[in-house]
Amino acid sequence: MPHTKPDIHDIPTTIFQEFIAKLRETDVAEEIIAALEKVILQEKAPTEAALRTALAPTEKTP
Amino acid sequence: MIRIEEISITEFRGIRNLTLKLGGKNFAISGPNGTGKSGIVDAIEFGLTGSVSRLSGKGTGGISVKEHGPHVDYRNKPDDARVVLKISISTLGQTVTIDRTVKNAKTPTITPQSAEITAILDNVAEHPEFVLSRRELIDYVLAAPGDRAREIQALLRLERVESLRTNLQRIANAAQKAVEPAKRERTSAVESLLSALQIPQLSQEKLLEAANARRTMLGLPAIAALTATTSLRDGLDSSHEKPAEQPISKKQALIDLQTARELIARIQDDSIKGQHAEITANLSALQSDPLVAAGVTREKLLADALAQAEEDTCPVCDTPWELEKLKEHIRGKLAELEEVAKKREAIQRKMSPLLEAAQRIDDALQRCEYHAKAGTPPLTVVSSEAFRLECRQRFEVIDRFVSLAETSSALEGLVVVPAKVVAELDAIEAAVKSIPNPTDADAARDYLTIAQERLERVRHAGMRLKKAEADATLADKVFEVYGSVATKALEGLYKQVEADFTEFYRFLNEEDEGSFSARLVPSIGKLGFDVDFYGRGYFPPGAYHSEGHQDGMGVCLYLALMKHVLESGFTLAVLDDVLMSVDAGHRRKVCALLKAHFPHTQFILTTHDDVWHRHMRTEGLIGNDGFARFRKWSVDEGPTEWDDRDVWAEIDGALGKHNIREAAGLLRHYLEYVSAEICHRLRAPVAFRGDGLHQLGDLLPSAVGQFRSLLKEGKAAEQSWGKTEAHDAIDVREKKVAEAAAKTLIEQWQTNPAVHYNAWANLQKEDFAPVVESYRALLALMFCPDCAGCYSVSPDRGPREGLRCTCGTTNINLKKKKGKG
Repeated sequence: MPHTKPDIHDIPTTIFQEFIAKLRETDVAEEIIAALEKVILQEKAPTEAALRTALAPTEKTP
Repeated sequence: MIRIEEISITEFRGIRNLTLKLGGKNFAISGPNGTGKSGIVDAIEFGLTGSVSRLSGKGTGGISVKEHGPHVDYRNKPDDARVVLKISISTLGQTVTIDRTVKNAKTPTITPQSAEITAILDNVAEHPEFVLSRRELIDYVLAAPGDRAREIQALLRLERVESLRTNLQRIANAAQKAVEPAKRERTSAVESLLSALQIPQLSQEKLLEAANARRTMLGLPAIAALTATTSLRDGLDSSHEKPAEQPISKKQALIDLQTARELIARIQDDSIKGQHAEITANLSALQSDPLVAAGVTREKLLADALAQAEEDTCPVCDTPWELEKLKEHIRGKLAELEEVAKKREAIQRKMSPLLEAAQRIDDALQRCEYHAKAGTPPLTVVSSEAFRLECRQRFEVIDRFVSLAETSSALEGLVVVPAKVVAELDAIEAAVKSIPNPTDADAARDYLTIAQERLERVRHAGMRLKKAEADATLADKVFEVYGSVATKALEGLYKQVEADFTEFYRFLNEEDEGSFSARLVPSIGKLGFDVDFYGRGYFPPGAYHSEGHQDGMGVCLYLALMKHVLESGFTLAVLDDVLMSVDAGHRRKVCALLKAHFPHTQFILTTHDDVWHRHMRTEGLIGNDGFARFRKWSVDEGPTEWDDRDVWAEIDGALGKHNIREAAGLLRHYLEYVSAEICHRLRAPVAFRGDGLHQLGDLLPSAVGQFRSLLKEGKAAEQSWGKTEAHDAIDVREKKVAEAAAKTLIEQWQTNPAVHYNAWANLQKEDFAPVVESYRALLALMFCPDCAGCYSVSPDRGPREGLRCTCGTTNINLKKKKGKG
């Protein structure tokens, strides 16, 4: 359906994608990046709680 | 994507029943204040989005579309308050009707229906910024940087960018905040271990040396290396168990008691007291400012509310909100409290050593309580326990920092250890001292047992600290990467907007601000906006530029932003009385700007200024039928439109009613206006008047004479280039103008009363109708039949080069070939 694409600059999504790509250039674990990617790009407005969970995907008991 | 073909409004706002045919083209709505123009803007917005910004924005408490959308006489019949929009969707090649009532504002009837149409209409509904009012214009240009950032971020749909930034920052701050308690806990655990080991510093070598000495005494093998799982008690069995009658270690108990006394003494020495006094003074100073005192409480409340806001209701009062709008609202308030937050953080930093000292006392007292309870007989330590409980409650209050008064009060008692607690320590010490001295083997066993317990605590505290530090590092890194990506992207975006804004503004003001430039400077949560003032430096737009220039800037910034938000989807904009302070010259430029840069956008403009309306027509921004003029409004009838959309039709109407006075007045006023416009566009010579009050006789003959003279000039130019065909075409045109002018008797203006407007009102219909007809025919020759714009000389200063219309259908060369005279 070629006409359904909104003819609008989705600036936030572009920024989010670039953010995830830049994170992959750092030493941040892929598991965390993948969780962030899922939360940020799938949820329109990821909550703080969702982001916290993404940043600590495998909480280990000290 | 969409254009409005037609709008029908029934019992909505101040309108009873009105249909306007816009035909997908630019459209002007004019009329004095209070004649219903804004009702049409509201109806367009309602028809497309189901809401009306004017009834739901800031400062509209108690007003809603549901309650106040219908006409006041229909406020209980929301089903009858209706807006029907016929729109064309160019990308689909379809015309769609949206039928929306106030009762079913969110569920309009859309005909025809399809997924593509729904997607496009949803998209339009998400962008109500196609309506620009003067309020928004002021928000873009004159607002404080924080407010501007919010308005523009909302326009650019950047709330998500800011929301993610805020959330990541909060997580990073919280992670950083968790490191300090973990550090304090580890320091405390290490001190406790050192106390048990009776060594001054913690190192593997010293620890093993001390532990192995006791192990040797008990006949146990020495430990060669300390690993994460090494137990100092390794090898101790039941034969080493302590007799049940005295379970505590006398020596360790005395050390712990001594440590507790030293810490209590230390917290009361001058250095800590000085820190305490300084913090208390800082808190008192802040408390004396009621705004800051209240601000600390509000800031904490708002920060918590922001964290809790995850549904479409306020987490405090359950009022329904759109989640993003609610968050935006709270963020705005938090931004106002930014200074308060900085002061709070500064005090919290100062309090950290004090809290650490108090935490160590808590830890030392807890160890002493352990000895008291384990002794035979056990001792009561209620004062110590009560004091520690109170201290922990104080920690929580200080950590929350909910209000300055509470924090100050909690801090007050933190460094005062009650005498009862010291008395309990005395009692514990006396009891411990009465215990017979242990044998060397008992002492060694106790040593290893307690050291192992405390080593475990150090290990756990170390792991918790490591995790807290790793969490903080990760959160910081993620936030930093996001901040740098977002800042770079936004800077790039704002650079593009800045470039377009500058181009548009220069276009409007090329005569005196041709080298104008501007700076949009984003920073966290803010957007600075400074503009060049005639090369003297960069200043806020409101600093030196006139109100009219500021209006122009608002429009330019809006257009630049919309260009970036919607790109080719920017097909509709409603400019609601936004150029009220702009002068005639610059309004013409605005028309040219809209036509040149946004040829695919349908502009709907409202104005209370009839002259501005007519400028739009002469500049060809709107066509001959592209407007509605309201003359009055009443609550019973709604707006009353001028009977016709054309001045000539209005004059004909007056003639039809034999109202020559009205017809003469209309013709005179129109000729006065249009003659001035033609003189301006054709650069016609007019006798100078210092007061600028030119009469029709000063203008009209000059306008017509100049037009004829330009046609002659054009003929001569074409002849010089040998273009006979073009020459002949102009000749035909010139003859037509001459004929039409002759019929108006314009050359006899000063001598023949029949051509003088003062005498018109006394004529009969039969005499005046030909006068009207002659002017109509003459003026028709001076406007382009295609774009409806008045012909104009180009350029508007310097040697004349051409006579053109705005659409380019007419383009008469005025430059002769060199050497041809």
